[in-house]
Amino acid sequence: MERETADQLETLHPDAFGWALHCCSGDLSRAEDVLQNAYLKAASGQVQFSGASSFKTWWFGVIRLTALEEFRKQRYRDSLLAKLWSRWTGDSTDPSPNPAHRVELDERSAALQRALSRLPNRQAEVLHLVFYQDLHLREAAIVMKVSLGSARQHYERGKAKLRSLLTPSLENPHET
Amino acid sequence: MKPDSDLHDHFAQLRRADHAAAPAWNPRWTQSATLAPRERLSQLPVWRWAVGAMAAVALTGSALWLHRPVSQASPDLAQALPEFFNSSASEPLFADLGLTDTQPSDALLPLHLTIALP
Repeated sequence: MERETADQLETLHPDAFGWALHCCSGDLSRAEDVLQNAYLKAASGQVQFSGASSFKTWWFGVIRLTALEEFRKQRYRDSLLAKLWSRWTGDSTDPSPNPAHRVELDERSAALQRALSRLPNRQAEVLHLVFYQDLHLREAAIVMKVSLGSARQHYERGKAKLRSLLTPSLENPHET
Repeated sequence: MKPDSDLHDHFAQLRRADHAAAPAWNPRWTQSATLAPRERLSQLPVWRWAVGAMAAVALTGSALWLHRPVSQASPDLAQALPEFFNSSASEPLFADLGLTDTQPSDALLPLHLTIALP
């Protein structure tokens, strides 16, 4: 790998981890695995930056794709027996962030993660890319592999939904 | 005031928390392409090891069964097989052809080939 690419990856590493963490629903160990696999792809030349978009946009697209691959593998590994057992015991997979990580977060961040986990995937993705990663909507659309119009729609709907989730007491005064 | 500043604040706080939890940068990640798979080998799910072990045991068992030693003593067929025909000593099992010392065709033979038994 070229020195310049390695330096860019190092600079982006904290943000890339945040993005991997989002793609893995807040699961720290899975996010680390996904990120390592993405680095492995870059180091072995499986993925190469062509310059068609910004480096960050390209790299986040690679991480997102790697997370999807890992998710599919994980789903395949889950045996029917495990699914039946979880259904029997009622111990279904919690879409909210990993508890171990949530403990380390302050209440405000934890509330944000809980709210994001309740949004549809696309809406949560676009909000994370725009607000957390400071990407433009156009760049977010490239990472998500959707059109700009679609990204904008997810963005607007997601923003409204997120606000309502973050301020439930304002909209529903009777709700605790 | 910046639009959506409330959301920006929320995300900025989450970003700081995530960065604090991020693993330290390791230069090996971008240097060695062969190290990572070896490291992940130990993280293979248990069921893969179990399936592999069961397949190995099944293969070994079938190989041993196919190459098991065959018993050396061959069975006595006279005793092992059932008796199909039961004949008494006075009555022959098959019809007699009526062979005698001289056959009807003996007269056709040249004289020097005709053997007369004493």
